[in-house]
Amino acid sequence: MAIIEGDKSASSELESRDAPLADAMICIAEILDLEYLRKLLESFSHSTGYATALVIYPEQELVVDAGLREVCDKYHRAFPQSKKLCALSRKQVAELSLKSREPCVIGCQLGLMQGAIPVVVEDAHVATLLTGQVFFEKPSLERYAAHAERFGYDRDAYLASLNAVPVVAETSFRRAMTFLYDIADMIGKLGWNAVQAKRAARTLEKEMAERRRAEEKIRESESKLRLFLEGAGFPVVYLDNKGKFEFVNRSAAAYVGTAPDQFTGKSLFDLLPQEQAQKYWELMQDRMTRHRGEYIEDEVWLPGGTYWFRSSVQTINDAQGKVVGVQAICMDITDRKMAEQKLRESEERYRLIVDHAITPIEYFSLDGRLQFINSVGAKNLGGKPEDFIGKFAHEFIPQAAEGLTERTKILIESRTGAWYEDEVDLPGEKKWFLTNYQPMRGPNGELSAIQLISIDITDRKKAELELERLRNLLANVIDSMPSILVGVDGSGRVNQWNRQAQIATGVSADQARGRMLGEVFPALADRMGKVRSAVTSRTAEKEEKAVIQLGGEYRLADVTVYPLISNGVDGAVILVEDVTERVRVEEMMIQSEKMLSLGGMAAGMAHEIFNPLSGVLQSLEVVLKRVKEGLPQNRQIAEESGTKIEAVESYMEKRGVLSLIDSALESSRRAVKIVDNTLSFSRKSEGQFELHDLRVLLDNTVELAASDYELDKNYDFQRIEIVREYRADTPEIWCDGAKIQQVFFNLLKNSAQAMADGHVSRGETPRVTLRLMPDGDMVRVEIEDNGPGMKDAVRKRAFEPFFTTKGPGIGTGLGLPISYFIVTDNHRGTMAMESTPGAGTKFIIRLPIKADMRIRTPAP
Amino acid sequence: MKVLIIDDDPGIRVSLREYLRDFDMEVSSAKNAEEAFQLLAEQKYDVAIVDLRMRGESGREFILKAHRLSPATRFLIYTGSADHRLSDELRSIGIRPEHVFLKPQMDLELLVNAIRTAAASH
Repeated sequence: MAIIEGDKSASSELESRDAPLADAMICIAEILDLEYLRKLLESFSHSTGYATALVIYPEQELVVDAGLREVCDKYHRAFPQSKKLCALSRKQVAELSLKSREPCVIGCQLGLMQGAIPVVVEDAHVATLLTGQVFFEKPSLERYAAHAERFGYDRDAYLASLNAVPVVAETSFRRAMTFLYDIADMIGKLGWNAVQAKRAARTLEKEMAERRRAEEKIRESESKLRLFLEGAGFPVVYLDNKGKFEFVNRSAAAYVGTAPDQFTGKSLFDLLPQEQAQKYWELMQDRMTRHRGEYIEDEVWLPGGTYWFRSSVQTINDAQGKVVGVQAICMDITDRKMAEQKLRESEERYRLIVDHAITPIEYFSLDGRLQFINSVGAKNLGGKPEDFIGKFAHEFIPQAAEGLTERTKILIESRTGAWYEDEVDLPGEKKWFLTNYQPMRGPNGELSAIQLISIDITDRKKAELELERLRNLLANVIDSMPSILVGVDGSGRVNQWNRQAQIATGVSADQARGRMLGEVFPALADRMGKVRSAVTSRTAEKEEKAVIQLGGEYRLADVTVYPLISNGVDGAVILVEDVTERVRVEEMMIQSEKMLSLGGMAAGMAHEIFNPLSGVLQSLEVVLKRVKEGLPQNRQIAEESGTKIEAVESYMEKRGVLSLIDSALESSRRAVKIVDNTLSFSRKSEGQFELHDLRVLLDNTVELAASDYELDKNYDFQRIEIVREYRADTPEIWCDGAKIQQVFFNLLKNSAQAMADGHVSRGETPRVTLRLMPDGDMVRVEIEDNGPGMKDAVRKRAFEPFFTTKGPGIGTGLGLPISYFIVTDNHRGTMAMESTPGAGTKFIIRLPIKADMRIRTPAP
Repeated sequence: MKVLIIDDDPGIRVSLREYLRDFDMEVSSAKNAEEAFQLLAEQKYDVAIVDLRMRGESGREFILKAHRLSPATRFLIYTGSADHRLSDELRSIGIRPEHVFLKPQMDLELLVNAIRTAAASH
């Protein structure tokens, strides 16, 4: 069957409108009765003599023909080479006619005349009506003979057929074509009708197919839905308007403990407890009458227990809108309900806790607005919760607002809670609160609010402040103590360290605390045994006058270890009392008592010695006088005795008696001097101001020092070279000789001690230079040694009472201060010292020549 | 010139007596106040040299009593007590520090001079 398909290029405009031929494929046979057309064309050919044909465009297929010429049918179209030319000719004329849209007439490639009329259906060229196979003039025999030659025809037969082609007038041919034009037009109209009919049929067909597909889909989805509903994990129930079950899925059946088929023909009342069934029946009625669909949540008592369902109940209507039943799709929300209930309970509990809490609880939004406050909190602020909720902190507690803002900021950054202590000025009173700031988080973990839980710590704070005050007081008391107080725990770690301990060791309390006693107070390191025994025996251990190095000096101290005897406290307190000064005072008192008694004894002894010495001296003098010339009695008595005084003297001389007596005299005088010096030094002689020659006093002191047993034994005073530089014009002065001698003695003794044991610089002979010179209305005395000198630290303290470098028991630390006192206070003089380490020490004493008027001088 | 020495130490008493005798003095000596008073009762002395510390009556008491018995006698004190003080009573009868000599006297001629001066003063 030939199919006509519209020219796409020509019908593009139509396509955009309705695409009539593109999808309405139609064959020419459907447009018209081809047999009828043949008859029509045959009768036309018969009456006119023109051949006719209908050719489909653009396939050029011949559909119907009539009156075709033998020459064309038997030769031109039968032989392959010429057939091509025929086809080309038909195409040319068809296209030409299409272009002009009207009948056109041209010669064919083989010289015959032909006409073409386009058949147009809905503006689409679907076929061409051809006519012709005639000549307008007599054809050239040569040309057609050449044709026969060229295409291989039988020349004579061909020319005979050609001869049968009529020669007609062009005008009559064109006239005949107008008839064919009407025919073509009629075919076009028929075609249009056929297309329209075909198109309508096709649309209908398409719609039918679509409906079938849709119905199939609905059936499919219905069955899927049913499958789905049957197997759904949640109960689905359909009830008709009488309350009978129409559909129950497995899940719903399972809740009742049975299978879906058990519901068939049963109603709500058959399967549910009466009350429950009634409730659902009413609900159903309500839904059905009010055509309302909504969710309900309720508790259902089922054989398996109590459940909570959230159900969507919807009416089912028939095509007329009449309610025929209800559908219930349920969700088991038992777990959620339980959780909600628990949450409610927990919230309730929380609310109870918060409401009845005895401590204030508040929530603030991040911008500082009070979201919640419990009754205690509100009461503290002097009101009820509703008085404050929604307000900003600065509106009801201005002094705390800034802190709140600050802390909120910190909390937002750190995202962790914190504790703060505040004194809050509440209406009526000031209170201390310990407040926990806690961030509250929203469901996504974001910060949503700040919770404040406060504890009233006013009492504790007061107690703390009191404790702090007491602690400070105690610390002050301990620090103010003149003694060293060190606390240690059971293991010997320091926990108490007062100011004196700090001064003595140079270690601060902060540095000392927590460290071992021996580390920070080496002088007490070996006292740990005492600490332990004190703790064990629970009795204080005391060590008196222990020699301990404190602040770089050796000191005497009473060390007492007091065990801490309170329960649960293991440790001890060590009290170190520097008793150096007390001991020295004691020693000094003992010394001065000793000196006093020694003085008394010396005085008594001197008297007892002086008497026999006087006897010896006087006797020797008498003897010496009586054995020499000189006294008249001597001569006289010598002669009476039968000799001459000259002989006696000569004898004495020759026998060495005179020099022996002189020697005895000298020894005796020395003995007198020694006793006399001792006496003058130990003698109580206050106020004994007399005119003294300092030369004599200095020399006497040197002599005394040389004869001092202790000085000589310990410091080898004899080896010290004494250089005297006394200026001749040094006047005598009024002074207490004994005391000035005491001063000189002290200085000499210090020098001797300093220079002992090779302490003299650069191996020089130990030397003391004594100088005397007038100095205005004073006399200047210098006592200078070439000893080791003094370090700065020692020099600064040299005149300080009780300061000594000699160690306990050797020096009293009083020599220099007493000397200073004698010079400056008793004699209104001055005393200075120059000392350089390694270059010796020089003491400079200046004494007034005339006795100060304030000093009582004894009447002569 | 008559000189009386009162001293309980025989070494001093005897040697001083001998010494002074070499200076042409008439010297008596007593070992205590009691003996001295006996001598005073027998004759007059120009000068008495008195030890202060003696057994029995002290030198000070002796001087005060002797002065009443023999006002013309001058007294010199010759003592071994370094801590002596001239009492106001002694001062009242004209005894001055220069009349006090400490034992032992290194230069006895000073004492001789003092005796002569004292003797000449009445």
